[in-house]
Amino acid sequence: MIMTLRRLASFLVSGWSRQPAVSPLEGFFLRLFFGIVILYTVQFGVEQTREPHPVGLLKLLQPCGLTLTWLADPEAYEVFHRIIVGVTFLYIIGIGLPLVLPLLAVLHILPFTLYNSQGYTHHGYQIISLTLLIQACTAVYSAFRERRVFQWPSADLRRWLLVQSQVVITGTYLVSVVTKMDSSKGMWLLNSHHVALDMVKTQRQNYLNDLDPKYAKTTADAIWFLERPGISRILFSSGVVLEAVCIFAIGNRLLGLLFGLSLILMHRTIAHLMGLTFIYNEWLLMIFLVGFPFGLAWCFERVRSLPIRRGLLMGLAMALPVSAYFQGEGGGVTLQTLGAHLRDIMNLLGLWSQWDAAEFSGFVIPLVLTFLACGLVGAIAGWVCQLKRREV
Amino acid sequence: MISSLIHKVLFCLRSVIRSFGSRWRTSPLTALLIFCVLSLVLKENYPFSNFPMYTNPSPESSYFSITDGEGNDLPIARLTGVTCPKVGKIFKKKAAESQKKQRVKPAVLSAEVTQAIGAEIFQYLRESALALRTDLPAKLQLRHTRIAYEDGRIRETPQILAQE
Repeated sequence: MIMTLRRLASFLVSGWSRQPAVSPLEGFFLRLFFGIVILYTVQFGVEQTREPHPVGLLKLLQPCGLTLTWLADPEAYEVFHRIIVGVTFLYIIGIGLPLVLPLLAVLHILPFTLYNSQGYTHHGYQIISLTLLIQACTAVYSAFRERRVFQWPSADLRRWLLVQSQVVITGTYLVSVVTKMDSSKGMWLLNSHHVALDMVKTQRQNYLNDLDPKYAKTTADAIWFLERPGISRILFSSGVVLEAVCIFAIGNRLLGLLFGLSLILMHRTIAHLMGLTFIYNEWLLMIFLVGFPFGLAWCFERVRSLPIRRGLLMGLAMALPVSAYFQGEGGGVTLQTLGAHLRDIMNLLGLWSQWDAAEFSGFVIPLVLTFLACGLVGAIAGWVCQLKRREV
Repeated sequence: MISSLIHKVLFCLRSVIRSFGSRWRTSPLTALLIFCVLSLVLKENYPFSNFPMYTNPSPESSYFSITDGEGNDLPIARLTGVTCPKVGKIFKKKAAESQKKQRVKPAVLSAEVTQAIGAEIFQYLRESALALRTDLPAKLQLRHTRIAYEDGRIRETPQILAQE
């Protein structure tokens, strides 16, 4: 029994001392998907023209006479957006990360600092800025240690970028647990059945925001929970316990998958009960904990032949202009239409929170088929090359 | 018996600290510890946050809303881009600033203070509506509704905090 417990404990903390290797392809997919999330968050711009309650960087900038309200100017934001797109592109390629990542982190922090300096705090974007910040610190530390700046990320840097991102993601959940316990003087678990009243509150607020009838729900769900305080305590507390123990997922692929999926399920349950969505948390969990890029890279790496794998990747890359040609509004493929097509693909992330069957069948299925067809053509071309090389 | 147990626990703790001590530079726990301490100390300073949402479940909850002069609900997020939770956060922030305290409940504020804070919020909403080119009614009300569970029913008690 004691041996089993010891083995379990050693498995739970194994990721803290021995981190997983990240292949160059997985590293690329990690940067690609995280880059898409970054671009998704900065596409809308900011409308706030005042900074009545400065937070973060603005507390340092305002005494020096500097502001961030220039970001509210649509023309200035257009230029800012182009810069951030360019820097994100460099990040996805993966070159010069010790310089690119700090710049990208600052650029991402600026608009949301202005947004949060209005007297209210939006907690959606923090997890993304914080992940960028810790990745920037990791890349700079690695540059000093390895004395290399402009090269591709080393095996150590790739591994640490993944692990430190997991640290921030699980750390945000742990911080919220500590705050809960501190604010409630340790009584959160005992009082957790009262969260049902907050369900009513968020439903009312969601309704009053837009007078959207879909949120004009009855209070039946909340009453059900309030009438059963014991069950409610167990259900609500299980979420907090999950938030506290998810730090075991750091550096452990299997636990990352289990905790990542459990946290996504928790967010989905909250979204159903309270109408509160945590879309950015869910995407980051999919990327860094569940290991979607790892799974994808693993599939590619099963293709042992290098020419076939290269052909497959080139075919998939070619699928972008091909799908832009077929799914665009006609007039061929130009840089502008390709950019618009990439934006459409990026906005598919929205389907994660708001399912749209028409968008799925009209855009996603043809897109996936185009990628599959181009990938297949590329793989066949790679195979033919391999055969010809053998003949020579 | 107890002293032997304490001795064993202390020995285990010492070996854990010693083993961590030699590897602290390469352990993700170091970064986790630094991150948690920074977040809890810096609190709401973007990008850091101590995530203070739903931290103290209590038998009473409340929400803020904006209505027109007759008390009819307004789709305030559509009209101004400012949601009801944001209105509540602005009110609480301004109330805390006026009382120089961390947290203030609307019930303890004087009518003059709530009216003054409400006027600032109305001004902010009108500026936001102007930026979105939408029209707000000539008169606005700021409401605070308390929610409680009593006798098997959810009771909501609205109160006008400020009006134009």
